[in-house]
Amino acid sequence: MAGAAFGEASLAAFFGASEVVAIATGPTSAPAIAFGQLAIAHTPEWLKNFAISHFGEDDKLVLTVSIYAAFVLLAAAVGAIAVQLALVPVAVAAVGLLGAATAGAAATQAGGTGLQALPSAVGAVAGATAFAFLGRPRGLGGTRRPTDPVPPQAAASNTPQISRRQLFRAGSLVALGAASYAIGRGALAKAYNAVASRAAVRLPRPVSTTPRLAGTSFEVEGLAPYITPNEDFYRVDTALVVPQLSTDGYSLTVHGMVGQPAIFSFEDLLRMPLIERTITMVCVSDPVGGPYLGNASWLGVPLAHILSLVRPDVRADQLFMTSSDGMTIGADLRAALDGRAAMLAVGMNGEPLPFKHGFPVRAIIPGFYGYASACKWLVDLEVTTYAAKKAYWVERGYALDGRVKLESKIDAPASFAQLKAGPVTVAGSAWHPTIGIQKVEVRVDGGPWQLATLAEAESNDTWRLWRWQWDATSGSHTLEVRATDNNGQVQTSKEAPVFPSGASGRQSVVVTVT
Amino acid sequence: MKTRYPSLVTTLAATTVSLSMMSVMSSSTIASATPAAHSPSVASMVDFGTACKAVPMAGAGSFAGMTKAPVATAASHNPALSTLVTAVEKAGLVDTLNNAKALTVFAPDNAAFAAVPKATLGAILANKAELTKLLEYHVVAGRLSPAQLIGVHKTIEGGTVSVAGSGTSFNINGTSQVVCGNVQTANATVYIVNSVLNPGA
Repeated sequence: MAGAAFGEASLAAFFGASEVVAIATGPTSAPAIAFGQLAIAHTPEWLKNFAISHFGEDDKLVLTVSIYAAFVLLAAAVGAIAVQLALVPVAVAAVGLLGAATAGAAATQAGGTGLQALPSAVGAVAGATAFAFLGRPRGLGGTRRPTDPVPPQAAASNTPQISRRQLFRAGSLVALGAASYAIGRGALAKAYNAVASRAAVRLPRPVSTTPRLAGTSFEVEGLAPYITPNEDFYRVDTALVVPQLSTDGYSLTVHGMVGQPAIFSFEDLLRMPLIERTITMVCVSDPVGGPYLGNASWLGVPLAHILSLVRPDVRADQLFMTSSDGMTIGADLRAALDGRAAMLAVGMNGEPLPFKHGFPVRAIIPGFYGYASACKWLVDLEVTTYAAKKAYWVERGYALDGRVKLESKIDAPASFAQLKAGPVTVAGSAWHPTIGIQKVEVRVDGGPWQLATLAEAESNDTWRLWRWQWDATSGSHTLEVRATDNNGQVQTSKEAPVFPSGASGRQSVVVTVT
Repeated sequence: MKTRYPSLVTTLAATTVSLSMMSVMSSSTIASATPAAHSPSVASMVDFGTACKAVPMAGAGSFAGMTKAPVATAASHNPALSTLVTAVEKAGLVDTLNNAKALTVFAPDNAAFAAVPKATLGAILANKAELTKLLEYHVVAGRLSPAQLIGVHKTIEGGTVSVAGSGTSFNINGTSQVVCGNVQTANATVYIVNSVLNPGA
């Protein structure tokens, strides 16, 4: 048991010292964070599925707690063994191994350097020193020199004993480790969050904007607003910790098959002619009638402008984007240059991008699902070919061509709504970004299609809200919706799942009228 | 003195654990994790029941793990629920189930449907209105955790179901047993049951 206490003290010293050093080298160099990211990267697919199905949104938390719990148990076990065998080097070696593992994880992660290994190295030295100090031979019953007085308790047992003083020292070390860990963590959160940086951003006025229109929405309970507020905007990404990039050190590298590679600072981007466009974004994982889409006003530098500065090779067809946390998104280069409002966005609904939505810079390309266009925390833009490089979700089987499908949804009434007979307003949205919506129809119980009233849309890049007055009669009823785009294409009734190229089909809602 | 060591060691270990938890808390504050419509405690997220192994709700439902599948989609990836999925499709309830905000679903497995006489099952599947009523009788608004499960609940159909039992052993209306419980999908908590519930009972 004595050894277990020494082990925990050693572990506390390790984390305490490394966290303080991480103040200088950055939050991702802290051993626990680096180790967690490594664990996520190497978690097999079946285990991820198990975690998602069993812990849902909490899967990342469960993983982190498990890692810490494993450290605590290992420290107790190794400490106990080392003391039992009176072999301090066993514990020192174990701490060294732990340090080497976390140092390796920190140095080899996206954006990692040798410097990132420093907190782990210092932590390992502190942990090993702590153990050597606590467990030095004269303190251990098993190696007590014969001349030492034998405490009565120890005489009754042949297991190694520790003195009150040693236990006090171990306790003090745990407390000291905990305190310095807390100080380090607090300082890290303060020093490396970019809240001040974001608050200091003054967004320039755009040279052109989508004209603001009246009549883009309807007052119907349950119907989404035309512009989705930032705090309600959907978020789908793989970031364990939302990246906090400061605009100070920010740089965007544009390279690859280009005539003139370039590096832009955040200020460089703000000095370029900015455009503001209202654009509806859709996630490929949005099921028919699902929640993963939103409409916002985006302020940014046209991608065409950036690309004109670097002169892409005509043989290139992919814009390969990388975020600060290593996510990769491959976009259609030719589509980005075909005149659509493709941009590197810096603003969302009149404010700098929220951290969750990619501060300070993200890509937006209307007409494409996020996985094929909308890289957040963008730091690298490589002009290349689809043949040469595969992006993250494409590697996992999603389609190369990530064009958003023509779809529509019913927001009101809700699934299984209990309604009173009489007039009921049915309302929702329809979208086919870059093409636009010309017609929405609704039908009840498979009857004739009825024309819905459309709200205004600020451009063809946004969704269009609609409503339809229904004279509801008692019974169970199925409401169904379909849209027609500005090319005359009618939304397909053919159902497709989310994987691999986005869901299709016509949403229906079953309600009960009494 | 000797007997005090274990408790002191436990205290040290507990300090280290709480230290670990602290770091998790603070890192998630920085992270402001993915907004979840529903995020129950870790303990309540774990499913139970021997049949859970045979009826995985993950598989292709969480392919590549981009987002979690809603209830009807998740069920369609579960071979042990294929009859139920066919019934849901025939009733045209797929989208309605998938897009509901929060539900509890009592999902009869294939064995449950196999126990219904063939002619009776055929007649139910052929009558959309009756089928809709039957399926809606298996759905309760809101997510019920195992701790909230016991009692009488109003179903979407309008009738009530009565759940009795304790711990991880439950029966519905005194007959149907929960063989795999507390399965989490994006929008519903699912309890897989071994017989079809009868709204007329």
